[in-house]
Formats: sequence, structure tokens, C-alpha cells
Amino acid sequence: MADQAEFEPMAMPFMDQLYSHALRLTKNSTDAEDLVQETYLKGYRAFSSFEEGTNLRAWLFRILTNNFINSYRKKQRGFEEEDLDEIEDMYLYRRLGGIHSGTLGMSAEDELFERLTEDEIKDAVETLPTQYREVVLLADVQGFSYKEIAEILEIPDGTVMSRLHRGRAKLQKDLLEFASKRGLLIGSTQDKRSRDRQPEIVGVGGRA
Amino acid sequence: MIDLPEKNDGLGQKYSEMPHGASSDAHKCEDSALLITQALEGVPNPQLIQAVRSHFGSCMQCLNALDLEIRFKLAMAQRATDKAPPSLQLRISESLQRIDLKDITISDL
Repeated sequence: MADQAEFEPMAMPFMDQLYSHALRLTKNSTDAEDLVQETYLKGYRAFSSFEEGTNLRAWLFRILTNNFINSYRKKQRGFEEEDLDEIEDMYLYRRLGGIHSGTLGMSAEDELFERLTEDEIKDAVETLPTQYREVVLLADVQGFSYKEIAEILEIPDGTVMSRLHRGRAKLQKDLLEFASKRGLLIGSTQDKRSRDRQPEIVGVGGRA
Repeated sequence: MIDLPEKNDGLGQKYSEMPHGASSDAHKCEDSALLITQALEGVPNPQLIQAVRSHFGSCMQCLNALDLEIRFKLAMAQRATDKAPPSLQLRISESLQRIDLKDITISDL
């Protein structure tokens, strides 16, 4: 049984991670701060039930997720579980693979991720339906394993894998569309005529 | 197209129909997406990634696909994060202290 006096020093180092996750879920800094505060208060009250030696970080994320579902997700206007269409395996590779622009001494893929702004990446994440966003954030941003995510969200492992697969593919597709709209790619991913043509990344000074 | 090793002649036709082309005998390109997903589970494990790289053998396209997914995951981990405002820690600490005070009964004083 955990000693409540140890809660604050043990739990506070995870505040930035919890806040970042809460912000991507609520899309609002005030709600994110409230959600993190509630998480710490509930965690503190329930700390006597936390088993020492188990994963405190995952335990806090589970509390935050439950809080989010109960207090925020149901209140979000128009919220409903939304399914994503299947997107082909390795979407990003099939659209970008093998292209090397040679500019700046970096590969085309590095350049693409460099040139997309943080806001564009965050916006793309925030447009994912909630149930996919939760899984992608826990896996790719927070680095949790499937098993940990399944426990945090209280869903089967197979559902985690399926949501991660679809969510990641949708996110990659959206990021390529952002890049295309900003003129970073030659050959829009939205243009059916060029669907099977691999886009090129525009280098510095317009070089491809 | 990469030439298949002699020992793979019997599978040559099968591999040549796959989108990524040739591969080693131990690896089928159609399984790559699953292997890549497994290699990138949680915090990417360098040993597991190396094992998958070896498993992909001679298929450069599968290796490139793996590298691209690693870059995507790194970009997400580095650029889709935010720091909490400094005031939040103070606010939480204060509210935790208030719980302590509330929990103190008259007999404790």
C-alpha cells in the first residue's frame, strides 16, 4: 500500500506529460489544466489503493482518461464515436518512399517533418476522432505499449492495435495533405489522377 | 528489382507479385506492416528494430518503410507535446494541501 505523503513527489514529475495529453484531448488549455488538477486530486485520494512497484505513470493516465470520459468527452458538442475508413498499409511509405531530394543533406522524409510546423502536427492530431486520438497519443507521443494502453483505456489489445493502425494512417494522410496544401509536395495526395504517382518534396529555393 | 537469391527461386513468382518486390527467404513483404508496428510498440526498442531490419533482409523498400515510420513516431514524440504552465504545479500543490487540511479532524488539533 502506498503512503499518501509520497504522492506529490512521486506524481508531480509526470505533470507535463499529463498536461500535454490533456491538451490534445480537450483542445483547450483551461480544460486541460482543470483535467490535470482533477487527476492529481483523485490520484491523491485513491493513492492508498495504488500498488507500490506498479506503473504510477500508467495509473495516473488511467485516472485522467476516466475523468476525461466522464467530465469532458460526453459534454463535447456533437461528440459521437466515429469510425475511420481503412487506409492501406504503410500509407506514408507508399506516398513518399524512396524519394531523396538531397537538399540540406537530409532525406526527403526528414525535410517533410522539419517543414511541417508544430501547430500543423498538433492540428492534425486534434482532428482525429477521439477514440483514435487517445490511442495514437498514448502510443506515439507518450510511448506506452499496447498492453499498457489496453489497461489505461480498459479496451481489448486487439482494439488498441486496430485503432492505432487506422489512427496513425489517417494522421499520416492528413499530414501529407497539409504538406501538399502548403506546396511542400509536388503531386497532391488528394488528386486522383496522381494517386499512384509518388509526390516529390520541394527543396530549398524551389528545387525538388 | 533486386535479384532473388538462388534458394528463393521457388518463391520468385510469388514475391514478384508483391508491391515491394523481392525479399529474403525469411520475410514476406505482406507481413512488413505488422512487423513494423510491433517494432515500434511503445518506446522504440533498438534491439527489436535491429532484429526487424535483419529480418527484412534484402528488401530495401521494407527497410525504408520502417525508417519512415520511425521518423514519423519521433516527430510525433518531439513535436506534438506541450509543457504545463508553471502556475499549474503551484495550483495543484495548493489544492493537495487543502485536502490535507480538510482531512484533519478536531481531535487531530
